[in-house]
Amino acid sequence: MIEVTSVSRHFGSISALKDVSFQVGKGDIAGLLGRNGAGKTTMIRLLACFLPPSKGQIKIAGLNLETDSLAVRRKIGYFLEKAPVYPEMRVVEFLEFMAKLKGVSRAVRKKAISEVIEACGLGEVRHRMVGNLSKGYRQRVGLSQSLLGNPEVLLLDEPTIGLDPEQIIEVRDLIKGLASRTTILLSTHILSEASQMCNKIIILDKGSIIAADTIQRLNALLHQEAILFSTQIESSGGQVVERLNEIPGVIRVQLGKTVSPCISNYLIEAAAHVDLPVELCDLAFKNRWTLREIRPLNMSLEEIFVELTTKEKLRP
Amino acid sequence: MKIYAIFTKEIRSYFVSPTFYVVLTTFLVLSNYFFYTDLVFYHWMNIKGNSNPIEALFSFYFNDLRFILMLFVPLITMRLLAEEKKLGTFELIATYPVRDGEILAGKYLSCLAVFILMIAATFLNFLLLFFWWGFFGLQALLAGYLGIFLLGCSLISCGIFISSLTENQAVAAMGTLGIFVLFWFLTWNEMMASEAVLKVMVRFSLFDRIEYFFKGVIESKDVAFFTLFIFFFLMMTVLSLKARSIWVSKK
Repeated sequence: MIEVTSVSRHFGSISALKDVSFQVGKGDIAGLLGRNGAGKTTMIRLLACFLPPSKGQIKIAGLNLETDSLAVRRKIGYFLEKAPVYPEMRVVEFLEFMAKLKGVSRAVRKKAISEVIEACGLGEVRHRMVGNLSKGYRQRVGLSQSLLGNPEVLLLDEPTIGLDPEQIIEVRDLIKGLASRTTILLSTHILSEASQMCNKIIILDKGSIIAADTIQRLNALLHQEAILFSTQIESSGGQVVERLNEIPGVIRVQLGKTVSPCISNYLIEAAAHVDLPVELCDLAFKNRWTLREIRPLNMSLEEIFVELTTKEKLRP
Repeated sequence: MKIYAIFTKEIRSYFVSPTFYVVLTTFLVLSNYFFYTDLVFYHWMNIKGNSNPIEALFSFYFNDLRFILMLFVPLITMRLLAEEKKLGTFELIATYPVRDGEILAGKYLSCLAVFILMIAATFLNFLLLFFWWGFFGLQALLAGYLGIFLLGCSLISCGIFISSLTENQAVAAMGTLGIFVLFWFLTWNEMMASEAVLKVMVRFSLFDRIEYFFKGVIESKDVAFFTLFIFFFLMMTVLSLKARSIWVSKK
């Protein structure tokens, strides 16, 4: 649905984006992550046809942004971080104006506006001046305009910033609900939000892509050298740590929480090629231990992000 | 359709803004004050035997009106694009399926409609005058209003261009006023330039060209000049809107 090929964007001597390429499939919710100044907003602005790329090609729904800009703009919904609105207009008037600009025909305009008002929970404030609304409601008004005309692609720049926790949950649910009929690319600073909502993560750093994949695959990629396991072992004798260290390929064993005099947790780091569950079962059988639990420890998105942006592990 | 949507939205924005009512009221007070003083002057000339209304009333009044326009047009053009940039709404509507030219056309026409309303209000003075004294010099009057209309269109096109260069309304208003004053003073200091240079400068002076209209003379070259002037500044505005990367990178 979104195809970005070798895109660069320069502002004078500054390169905001350098040879960026990625794809987002139909129905995906992709998260665009990166530090401040990484190039997230520039990337979203290029996709929204606000700025042209200096180099490279972008296609949305099979249409080239350079040659079919107006047609592409009919297919996208764009939510800006500041949620700009006209303060002197009422919510309904604002949405009506935006629907006219979007080209929503008169016959379906009223229905389309009612739908987005309902979807964004704006029913109570539909006749109030936008300038008098709270920040949370303004965010919703901003979000509601992006949904007008049933866009095929939604570009959301920090959609939950400034909202209270309840509103954040509502907006996240709304975005998740839209995924069945819309492809969504959202830029966010909140990594837990991306891990909850997105099935694909694109990490930008200093204008370049350092990773673009699902969280699971990124995890696997980072664990090419070593995998971390958590295990709980019941044993009547001692020297469990020593025995575990004897398994070929085990790098490090750490004693964790002791549940009872016989039951303890252990953290084992092993080389990626080692089939640790099998080796562990074998060892437990030989030593008459009871293996109560064994599970690989996945990294959180925060850990993946820090790992990638600081250690430059996956840079080409 | 999209131009009309932008046009109606802008008209509405004018009429819900208290600033616009202050501008409109001040404009009407000043223009009526000048009409009254010019009428008194014309009456005095009439007593002395010189009763040419075109020279003694219309021309004086239109000369005063062009001065008032120079002060008031920046106040109605300053917000057109500067405010959109400040609010961030320009970025929003620029990502809708609307051409920059359509955005500009809607905004320009709305400002023009407001300007026509302001000028139409001044025409009421003449209607009252004709009601009491009967019709006289109607063609010259209409020529004068055509001149004022063309001047207004030109000033608005220049004002909207300056508004597209900044996101600060005060800067837009002052910048526009500065350019208008420059056009006004262009030919004032005759000692500054040689006669040949002065001749060229007169050709570019909006305010010198307009005087022919006030005398009841409509020349096609003057109409063409104003049309080109308007076209030039509207094109400059479109180019300014297209140069987004410049103002985006400055943020």
